[in-house]
Amino acid sequence: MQTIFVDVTNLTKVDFLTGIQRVVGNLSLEMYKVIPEKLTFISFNEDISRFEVLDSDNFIKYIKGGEKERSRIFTGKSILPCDMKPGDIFFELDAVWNISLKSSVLLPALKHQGVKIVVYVYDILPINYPQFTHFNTRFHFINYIGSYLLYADAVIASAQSTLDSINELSDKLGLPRRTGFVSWLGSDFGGKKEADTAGIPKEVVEAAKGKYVLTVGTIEPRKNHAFLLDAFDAGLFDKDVKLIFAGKIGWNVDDLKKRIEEHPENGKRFFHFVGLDDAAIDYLYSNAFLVAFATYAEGFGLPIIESLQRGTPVLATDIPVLREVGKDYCEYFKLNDVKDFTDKLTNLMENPTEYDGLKEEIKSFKPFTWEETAAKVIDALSTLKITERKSKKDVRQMVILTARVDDIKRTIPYIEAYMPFIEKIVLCCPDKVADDMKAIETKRIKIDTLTDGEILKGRPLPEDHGTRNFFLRCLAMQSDKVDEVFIMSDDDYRPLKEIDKKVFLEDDSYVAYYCNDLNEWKGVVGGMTSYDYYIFRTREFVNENRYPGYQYSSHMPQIIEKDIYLEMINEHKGIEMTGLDEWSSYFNYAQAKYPDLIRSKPYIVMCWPGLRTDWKMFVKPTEYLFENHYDFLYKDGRIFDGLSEEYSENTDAENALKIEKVTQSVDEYFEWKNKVQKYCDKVKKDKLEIPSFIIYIEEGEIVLGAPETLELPVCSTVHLPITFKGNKEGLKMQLCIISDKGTVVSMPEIKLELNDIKIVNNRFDATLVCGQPGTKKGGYALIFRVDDGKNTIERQTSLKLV
Amino acid sequence: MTEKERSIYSQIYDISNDNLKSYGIEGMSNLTNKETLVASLDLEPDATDISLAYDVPRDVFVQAIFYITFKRWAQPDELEKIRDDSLSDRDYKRAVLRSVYESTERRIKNKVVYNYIDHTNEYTFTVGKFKRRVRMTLTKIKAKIPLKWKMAVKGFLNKLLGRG
Repeated sequence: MQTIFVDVTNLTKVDFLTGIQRVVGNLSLEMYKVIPEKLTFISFNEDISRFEVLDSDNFIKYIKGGEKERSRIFTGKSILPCDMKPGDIFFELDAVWNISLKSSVLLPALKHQGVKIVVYVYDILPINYPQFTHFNTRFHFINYIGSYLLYADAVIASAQSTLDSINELSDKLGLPRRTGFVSWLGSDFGGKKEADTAGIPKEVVEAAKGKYVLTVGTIEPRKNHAFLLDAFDAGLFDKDVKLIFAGKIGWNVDDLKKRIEEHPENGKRFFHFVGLDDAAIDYLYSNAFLVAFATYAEGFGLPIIESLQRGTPVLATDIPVLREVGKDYCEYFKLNDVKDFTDKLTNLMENPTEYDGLKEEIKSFKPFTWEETAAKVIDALSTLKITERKSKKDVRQMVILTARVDDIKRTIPYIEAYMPFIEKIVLCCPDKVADDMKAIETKRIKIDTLTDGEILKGRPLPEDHGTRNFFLRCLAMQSDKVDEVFIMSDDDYRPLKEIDKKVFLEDDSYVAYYCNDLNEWKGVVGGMTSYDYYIFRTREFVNENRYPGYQYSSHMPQIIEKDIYLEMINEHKGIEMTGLDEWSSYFNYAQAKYPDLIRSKPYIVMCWPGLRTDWKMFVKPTEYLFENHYDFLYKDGRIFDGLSEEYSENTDAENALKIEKVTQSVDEYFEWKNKVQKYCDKVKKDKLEIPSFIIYIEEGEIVLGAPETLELPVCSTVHLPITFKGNKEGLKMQLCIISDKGTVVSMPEIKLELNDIKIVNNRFDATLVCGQPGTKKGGYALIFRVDDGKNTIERQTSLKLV
Repeated sequence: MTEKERSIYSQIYDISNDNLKSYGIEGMSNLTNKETLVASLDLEPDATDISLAYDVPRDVFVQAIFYITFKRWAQPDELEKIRDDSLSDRDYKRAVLRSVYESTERRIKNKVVYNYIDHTNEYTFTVGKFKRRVRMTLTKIKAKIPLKWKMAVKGFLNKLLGRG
């Protein structure tokens, strides 16, 4: 079931409720009445740098005022983005730009996990009216709004004007507009009450005798209280009308504060009240001649609603958002125009008929209730509900793209022996080998071919290998020879033991096996292949479309539903020409559209990578059900030297042995990786810096950085991240370990042409083999050397092999 | 951070700045501030990987670290306290990190990094983690105590201490 994680961080921390916190509280309450089972309230705990799950019942009681103990709302259970499921919704309801949690970091992580993101935007005043916001707030808000414009799936605004300003900002930035909704805001107060002075401070009751103009809200530059004082000083105080401010003193109003305190009419015909409770505010609203709202800018304008609810006329600044909220129920004046304001107020004071007419019209004003606001928010969230789709129940076909008759001939016996549910194999092959393919002898599996000619139907074949494979697979999906559900494979993926279709079909979902994270992939060290480039292109594709980002080209058979593949091709016109990873594009697309349909799991194949030096492993296989076959591993003393590459009666025993060897090798690799990580953690704690290698080209000069000391496991294979900034053309890099006798012990001495390296987010990996068999633990020197053809710069690190 | 993200945040900074200027107010025109924003975004959430800040000017780095850690800018006296032109760039940045993280402000002693993304790189805190566990346990225990007992204890303590 889809979970909606509602962030209410500030509401759980503040003692004084601002307008926004009131909105958060009321919306949470009303939403919980309708969809309690879907909501999980969370709050960011700065001490542990985690979101903490709240006890929903206690949280709701707390909002209602029934639960006084704030501590009761926290469960102590923390949650991270990686704990959320694809298809879940992260709903940012609170105004959290001022906390240590940075949206610029959080949102990409959520998106990568397949979580949908929705934000409630109250206004974007720090961007459009920065003069009215604190300097720090502006900075935090840039991060906040920028992230949401980049990553949100939907934006809910309190008013159409606010949504329009968000869209305008997106347009200026060249970003596509986020799907937008307008919810309006409800009102706290229950409507006009009879004048009842019980419990109201005497000075308030006294001030409210006679005719007065009221303005409610924190005294800050944006609310423009100074303008009202100017207007009254210009002559309104002489017209038998008082002025009342109700609101605390905010920031950046020292001069105004002094003016208020020292005003000659203060206490006579001008009053400023601070810290009034709801009953007193209600009293003031209900008995005012008029409410003045002279603000420069608003996200909504709640005082208008609160005033009209009580039948009190409003004279408001003529700005779009107030026109939207007040409609024809208010009178409007030009911003900052003392004469216009004075004329309009005087007119109402001197024309009782007009004034009474206005009051009569206001009676037909119907404010939004919080229930209605919550209904709009729930409607908006429901547009992101998970599209239900169940997997098909059966799979009997395997589709393999191959041009290599000999290789597929050797692989098919394994499929026959170990995948009993596969009844037919379709070989997508060049026309010239189709007859040889069809002639392959099998015991039970039927072989059919789908030739390039049948697939292409006259279209030319792309020349690049990486582009070609994806192109052919996309077109092959349109063939009737391909079943609605099939296992997609290559000619060198071999099962190792008997496999049930439950490996691919679980409950009503398809299981998809990932081997890496697309955002982490830096390519095969020292030798980029076309595979690497199509992974990089796939990363751009998923990030551009805000799909999840796991890497599913795990070099093992994977299950595909044809209709979904065709859906992807149809939705992204021309995609077949873009040379993507055929597995990662499909699974990330499918998971974004149908989160419940794809169940992602770590991969279950050996020999990917072929060698531990190839690339940094991100995921440890949980078991080995398949082999990505490399014939070089069966010779020259490599891991499977002496074992057979052909299926025979000894295959069961040999496969068991292979699994044992690979398990040992991979366990060893991850043990080294963990040791290195622990060491880095310790250094980080002690020295507040992780050990890092840096190459920085500054105005043609090479600047190198290396740690002073480093510890690595002896004879391990490690992948060192190298930070790089600058122009890498013509640069060569070397890493080698030298003993105190000057012998090179790293195996081999690593030399990299940086031109061949793909730098990803200023990083690439360099493989280092820390010794050969027989290398002893102890002290060595790690030489880090960069050469641009003219100069060679070197750094030496004191290395301890442990 | 990707180039696209960097560009978007920079553009929003410029838009906000231009709006300030259009109201006749001196904008956030100090170049350091935009650089600081970008530097801090690059370093988030883990500022200890200063290899990413290798080419960031010292003063920008200091402000970025303050912004990440304390959500405010360094004051002139704080900048002066940690200024040391005798140190190399890298050593200086290390010193800044040490100075900032050893600060008692906001009780972030023993807190090395904000890691709120995934379970990898879980760091072992020592006193900080222990204190946190104790605090959370006490919170849970406190939540179970009936309110009237707590009010009674509070009343008793107030009486004892001569409070109102």
